Amino acid sequence: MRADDTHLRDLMRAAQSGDGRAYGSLLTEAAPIIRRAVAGRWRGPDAEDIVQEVLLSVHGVRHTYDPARPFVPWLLAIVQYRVADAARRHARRAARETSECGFAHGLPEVAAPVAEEGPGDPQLLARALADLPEGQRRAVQLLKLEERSLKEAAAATGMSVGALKVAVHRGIKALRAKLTGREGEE
Amino acid sequence: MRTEDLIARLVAQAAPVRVLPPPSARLLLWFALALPAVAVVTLAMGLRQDLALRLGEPVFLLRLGASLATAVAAALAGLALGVPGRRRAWALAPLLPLALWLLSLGRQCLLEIRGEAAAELLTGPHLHCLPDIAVMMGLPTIAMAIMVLRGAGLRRRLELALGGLAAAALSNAALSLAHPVDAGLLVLLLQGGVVAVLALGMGRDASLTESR
Repeated sequence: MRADDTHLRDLMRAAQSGDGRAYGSLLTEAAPIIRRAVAGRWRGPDAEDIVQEVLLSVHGVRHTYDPARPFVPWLLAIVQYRVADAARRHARRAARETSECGFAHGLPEVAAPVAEEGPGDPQLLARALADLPEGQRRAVQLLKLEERSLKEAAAATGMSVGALKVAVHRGIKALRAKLTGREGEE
Repeated sequence: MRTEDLIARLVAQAAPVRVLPPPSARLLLWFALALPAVAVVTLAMGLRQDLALRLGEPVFLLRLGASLATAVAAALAGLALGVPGRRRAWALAPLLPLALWLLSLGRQCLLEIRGEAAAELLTGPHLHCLPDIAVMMGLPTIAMAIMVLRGAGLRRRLELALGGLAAAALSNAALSLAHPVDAGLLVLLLQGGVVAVLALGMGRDASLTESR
């Protein structure tokens, strides 16, 4: 592990100087270490998403690594915080979701709650979404439908966080205008 | 997105970065910025007339030393906690000097309540000194906040709280050389408010993915 750490430390030092090849090797060699560490701490779904979040974090804070110190503890500290983040997100999401009715207790006697804005028309929504400009469509798709974070969406699209916020805002506004306009015609 | 694709994307953005110096070096940098600032304000306020007398009192020296030690320990802790992999125990570093400082304030309050010491802490806040105190704490607090924000932000609220404590302790030490009465409580209360605002505004933890 020590020799491994020295190798990773050298790669990180080179990466901090802008050496892309060293950076690629570092991230490729670090990925299995991250994967193992995540597996040891996380029993929930989407473990590979956490691995990717750790890689994004490593990229974002690589300036905080001190080449005079071991690399792996620095990396594992980021893993630890990313897993804790994921656990918090998971708990929040679980708290928001209403529990499913188990078939063991029979079918529910009441109908599923209707959304406040009405059931809507999925096909109409899909058509309206397809009509949006590419940037807005991608932003709405990633942030609203897939519920990805701004940072994940930024990494996936190459857009800045600010541009994504603007695109999703305009996209939702355009969707609302289209849907309410058509509903008015019917 | 596949992890391999993400790595390729990150490698394409592998620009050189300015490496964060070790916490001890950043502590020295903070002192190099903050000390001249508090010294200038202290001299502008004027040294207290009884300074020579007070410097001969062990309790005054203890309070001054504890305040300075709190500044060093809290600043070091706040800066160290912003680096992934540093021990969480750093957060405990300022506890001992802070306890000494607070105990000396408590002792002073007790003596004043019993009438065994001249009213100092319990005379009510010297509100006319607030602008001087705010100016004195301003630069150390701003410098520390900027330095904390350069870190990884794993425990940002705690880092900001420790940094704010460091600025308050340093300002208090300087104030005790100029202000006719001890302003420690006022400094701590004022800085507590400032740090709370900072923590609300910039204190989101684990902002790890922001590029710098």
